[in-house]
Amino acid sequence: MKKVLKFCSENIATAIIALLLATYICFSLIPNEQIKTNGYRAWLNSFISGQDAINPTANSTSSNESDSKDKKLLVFSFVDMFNDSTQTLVVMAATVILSSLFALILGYLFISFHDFDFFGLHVIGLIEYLIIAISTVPVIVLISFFSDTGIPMGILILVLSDSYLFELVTVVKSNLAEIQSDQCLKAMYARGRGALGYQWKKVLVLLLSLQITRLPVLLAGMLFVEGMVLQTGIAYNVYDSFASTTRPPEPYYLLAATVYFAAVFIVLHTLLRIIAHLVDKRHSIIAEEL
Amino acid sequence: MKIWKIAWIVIIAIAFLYWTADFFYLSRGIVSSGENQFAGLSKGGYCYLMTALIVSGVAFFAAIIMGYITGYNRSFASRFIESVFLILFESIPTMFLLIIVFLAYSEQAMQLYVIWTMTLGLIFSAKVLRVINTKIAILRRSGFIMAAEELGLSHLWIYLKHILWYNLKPDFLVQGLGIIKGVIYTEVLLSLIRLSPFSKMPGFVSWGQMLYDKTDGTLRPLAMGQVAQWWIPLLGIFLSVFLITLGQNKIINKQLNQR
Repeated sequence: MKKVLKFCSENIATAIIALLLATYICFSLIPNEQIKTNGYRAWLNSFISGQDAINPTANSTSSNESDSKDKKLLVFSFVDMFNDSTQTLVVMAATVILSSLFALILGYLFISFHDFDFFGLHVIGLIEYLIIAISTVPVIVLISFFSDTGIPMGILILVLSDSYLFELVTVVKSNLAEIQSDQCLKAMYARGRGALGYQWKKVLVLLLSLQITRLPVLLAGMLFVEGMVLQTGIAYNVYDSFASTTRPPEPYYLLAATVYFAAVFIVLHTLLRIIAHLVDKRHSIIAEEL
Repeated sequence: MKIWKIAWIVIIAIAFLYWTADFFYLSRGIVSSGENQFAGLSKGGYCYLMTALIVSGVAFFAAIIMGYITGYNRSFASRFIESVFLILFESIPTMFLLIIVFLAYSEQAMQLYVIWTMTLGLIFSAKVLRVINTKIAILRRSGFIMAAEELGLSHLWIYLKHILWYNLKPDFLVQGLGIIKGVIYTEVLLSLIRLSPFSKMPGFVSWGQMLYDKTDGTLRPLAMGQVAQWWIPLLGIFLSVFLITLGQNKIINKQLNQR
């Protein structure tokens, strides 16, 4: 118990340091005169309260909105950002679940039927090529073909989940193949000592780990899905903050969203490491590989 | 596949793309590559390959140094890299970070290009480092590494020769191909929102920019089939990424069959 607590506290401390570093990197990259002159504290206050630090009279409920709308900065607060991110996070979670299921089924098929003459060589080979072909089409190109049809959310999720299926299937394939090559696992498997169960646990944790490391890339897909098709949500706001034709590029929102998502992903990473440690206390191989 | 063979393939590909781009430019007297789709395709391929070489150079160099520190030098630095660096660069939204870099350095083209490639290299180095760490964790328990240690070989030599050179070549190849793919994807997506460093660099051609130029930026004309020659940059993107993924798949399958 003491060991587990130590592991957890170490990981939480690491996550906090990583988050602080991420914030510092993002802030230091923006040589924005407005932040420099007004200071970070003013910006932070505006972020929490929803007031515009540069122009305090221009907030979202202000009646004076007609006043230079072109120059007005994007006003936002943490609560707004949290609410806006719900749609993005739900779509991403659905994508993760769907693509994991695909990868597990396909990976198992590849390993199970690879040695069969006809099925292994032709049908499985064909599916493999199909996955590669689907994975190679850029998300934005697929989305563009659906953009005028009033795209349903289900198809969007499918499109996003297909885009990196190849990597997921590879993880499942190579880890399941380990049972056939690792002598220890082979012996466990032959004696019915749960080698398959252990390996599946490992596959699931590694798959989840890969999914979490792919989340920042998935977010890039969301930028286009929300920015160009759905036109709502946090990724749309980010897209609008630099692609808007009615006002100059707004780095604040982009900056805040970057730190916000980095925080979400760091928390997920930390949780996964702790889960992996708890799942695999005896071998501690999974935690080491993470 | 031997390393020198891959090096030759890369050199020939770069030379071929450079020569074909020049051929199209010179033979037709074209100044802008946007006027000729095939010239743009060829020149774009050359630009992507050169950028991918720089990015992978940064990624592998950083990952190899950090891999040695985390694998053999248990100190504060190794714990920092293992926990903070990996989590940080795997969690920070890649596209958002690159957009911030673009907005911050958009005034100086060369500085923007250098920082952009460095940032991308560091992001990919986290991926390569994870592969190195996993391999070290597995190989450390194997007999030949223990025998080499008993013989008195230095950790650095074991790491460079027995782990990286003999055991990680195929994985490095897969990662290297992944970096080329990543550079193409990232640049194409960024140029579709007009935030790519290629647009600032003189003489650089981007396939995403070519695609954007054929549409109004929303890609709707593309979906409706209203634009001429839209398939040429798309073909470049699809074909290059498809062939790279096929290569990756072949290497991975060969590794699995050897087990």
